[in-house]
Amino acid sequence: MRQTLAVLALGLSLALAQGKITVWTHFGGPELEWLKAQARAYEKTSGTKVEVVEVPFGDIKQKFILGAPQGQAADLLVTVPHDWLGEMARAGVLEPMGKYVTQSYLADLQEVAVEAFTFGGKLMGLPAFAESLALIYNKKYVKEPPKTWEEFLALAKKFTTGSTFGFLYNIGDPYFNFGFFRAFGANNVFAKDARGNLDPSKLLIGGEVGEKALQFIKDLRFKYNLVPEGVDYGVADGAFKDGALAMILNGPWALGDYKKAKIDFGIAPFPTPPGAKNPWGPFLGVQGVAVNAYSKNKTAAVNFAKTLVTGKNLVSFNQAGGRIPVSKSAVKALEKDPVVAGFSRVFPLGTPMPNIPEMGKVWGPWANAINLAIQRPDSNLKKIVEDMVAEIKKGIGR
Amino acid sequence: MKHPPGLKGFLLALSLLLGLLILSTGVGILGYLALEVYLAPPGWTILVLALLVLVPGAILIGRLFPWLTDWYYFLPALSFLLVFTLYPIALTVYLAFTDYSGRKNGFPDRSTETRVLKQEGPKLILEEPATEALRCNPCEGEPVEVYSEGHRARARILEAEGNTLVLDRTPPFQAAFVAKVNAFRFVGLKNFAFILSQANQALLPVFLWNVVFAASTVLLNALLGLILGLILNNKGLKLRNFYRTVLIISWALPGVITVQVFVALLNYNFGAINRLLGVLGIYPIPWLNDPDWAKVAILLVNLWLGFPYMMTATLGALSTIPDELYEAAKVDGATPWQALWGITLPLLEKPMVPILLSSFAFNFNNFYIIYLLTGGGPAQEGRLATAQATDILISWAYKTAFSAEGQSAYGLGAAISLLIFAITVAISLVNFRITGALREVK
Repeated sequence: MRQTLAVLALGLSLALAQGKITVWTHFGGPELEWLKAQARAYEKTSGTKVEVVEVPFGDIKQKFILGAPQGQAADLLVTVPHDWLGEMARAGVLEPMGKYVTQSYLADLQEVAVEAFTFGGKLMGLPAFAESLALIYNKKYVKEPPKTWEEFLALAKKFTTGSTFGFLYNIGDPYFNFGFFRAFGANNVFAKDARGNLDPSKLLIGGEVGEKALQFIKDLRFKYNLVPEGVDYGVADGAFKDGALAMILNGPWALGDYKKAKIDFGIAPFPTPPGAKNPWGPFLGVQGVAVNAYSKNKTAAVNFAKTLVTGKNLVSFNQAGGRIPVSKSAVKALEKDPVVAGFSRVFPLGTPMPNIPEMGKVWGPWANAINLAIQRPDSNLKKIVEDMVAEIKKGIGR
Repeated sequence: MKHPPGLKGFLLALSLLLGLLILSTGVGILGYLALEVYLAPPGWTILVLALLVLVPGAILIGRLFPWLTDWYYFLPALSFLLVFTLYPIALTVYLAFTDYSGRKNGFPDRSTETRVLKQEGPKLILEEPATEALRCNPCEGEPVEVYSEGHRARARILEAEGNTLVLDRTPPFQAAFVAKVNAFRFVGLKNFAFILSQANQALLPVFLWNVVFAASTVLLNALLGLILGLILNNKGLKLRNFYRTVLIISWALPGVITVQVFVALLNYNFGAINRLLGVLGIYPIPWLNDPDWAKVAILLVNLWLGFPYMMTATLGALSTIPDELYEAAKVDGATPWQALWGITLPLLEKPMVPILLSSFAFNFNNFYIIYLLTGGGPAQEGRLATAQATDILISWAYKTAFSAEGQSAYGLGAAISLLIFAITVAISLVNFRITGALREVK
């Protein structure tokens, strides 16, 4: 008797859960508020309950790949960066979106966004916003953004005093340093093959390019004395929020907090490093919403996803946090916004981050090499780069 | 029939019960998989099917072996053991010999999802050419999943030509889509070969530091704990309970939080500890940025976290030493120093050795302090990105499986875990042999 009751109760709770979708998000602050408001609005119009769960950004991919086939993951992810798509799509957890969207929707998106969200010829999610790093400067210190390296260095040195800093950034993270590798000659992490696909066997960040870029990053610490030991993302970001930092390399995700801290900031490209043959150019990332292929409530999840990425809602999302939408109509509506205008000058310099799964085997050794280079003034860059390339090749070849 | 005596009876009962549990679970899962092709049963169908076998099976076995019925009280505990201990172990051993990973996980690859236009028996007409849509060349023998709303079935490709796909079985429903399955395979000892091929850059230095870390942690903590325990045990000490409470605080605070506070305190330029040293005129110490200092920092933080345990253990052991021994020593004219060396320390040895050994075993796999304090870093020249200056074996396995290699090299991670298991068993055996701890317990 008790058993049948338990089984009945289980069945009932499952039946009730049908009218509900779960959303995993890494948003925080005003952007989370925006998402919750969207969820409430959708609940009212559709009658489907939307539960918003905060999951740390770094955990989402792995949790989702493991949990989705077991029915233990969210129906909708808000949002995933495009460079995760290859791995998630091959793991089979993403619902291809091509059959749900209309031509007019696709026509409103920027081409680069559609390209970034296409894997194996299929649209794997709905792109929402693009991001890249840029030089963000506090107008209290810097009136006009530096155009050349000499101007930049003079400004940075001037404000590096006991209580303020001229220039800080998350120096140990390859994502924050790719711009320098690009400046010294690496167009992307991998070269493209004849058909235009990234070829994981052709690594571009090694060799002389890698050595020169690492030398520059090392010089930021030991020669120009700008970025001391102990600086990580938290320290740099905190200093800028406190108004004690003149310039930082950071992206649109941080701008909501800077606005809240009442920092008057501007956005510009980083100047070309000394001796570099190309201009500095960051990784371009596109983030969008993705639907769980194993979702029990796919229709509701897809419909909610579609409302999130309409041009109108992306405008209000931009006003909440400051991210740059990929919808042409939204960008047009935000033309006067200085942030959108600033980043639209940076984006053309960058290159989309690789979305092939092999990239997962590059980050670790790459970060290791950068951290080794900035550990000691006498670090052996040639050997560091050789070791990095060997480890990446070994991982990819496995 | 009477209960068979001794170990034989115990093992017989255990294997009967485990066999019954495994059989019923197996029937449940297989039955579910068989049903899944025709209708979409909810997950608890497995439980119902398993109970349908378990209950009659238990009654039947109870008839055959009447003495076994007492053992049925063990069934709940055994099923927990089966699910949470035996199953993960068996899975780890199994995975260590496969190339299982996030990409090769046995689930269909949705980026190859292709619409099925027409279905005639095992023959499917696809929307696009099969080799391109399913990204397989040659396609023969590749596993695929065909599905439509609420149905799914697995099959293998027999033949692929143009838009036509011939499967080795007929799906029992009208298929709407087909996708290639990311099958994982047995790779034999390849994972182990990969680990050993990098032994110089990972296995050996990590193992060495792991032993040093566990041994020095135990020694330092035990030494400080012993000294403080001896001082606190002195009945003449005023405010004894106050000191005891204060000293135990670091043990009472959740380590997950204190370790992260230490990360901030130990920051090179912005941490309170280096600021304090600066006030004293000492150069800042690269606690977390230098491969050697990071090791020191780990030992010190672990000392802060671990000494109260040793102190409490010492106090407990001290209270078992009868006062008469000290009185007799006093009568014989022994100095307090002689009493310490002659009575206290020898009598402490017996209760403390098992504690030290278990503490060594615990610290040998003390993942969280490494992960939270340094994350295995800082980087060290000539080492892999997954095996940096302060990585111990378990954090190396974690980073290999979950943070490098595209965040999901589970096969490789499982192989490392097996190696760690072997190493831990070997070290424990040596430990027990040398100290004779096992013999004394008997």
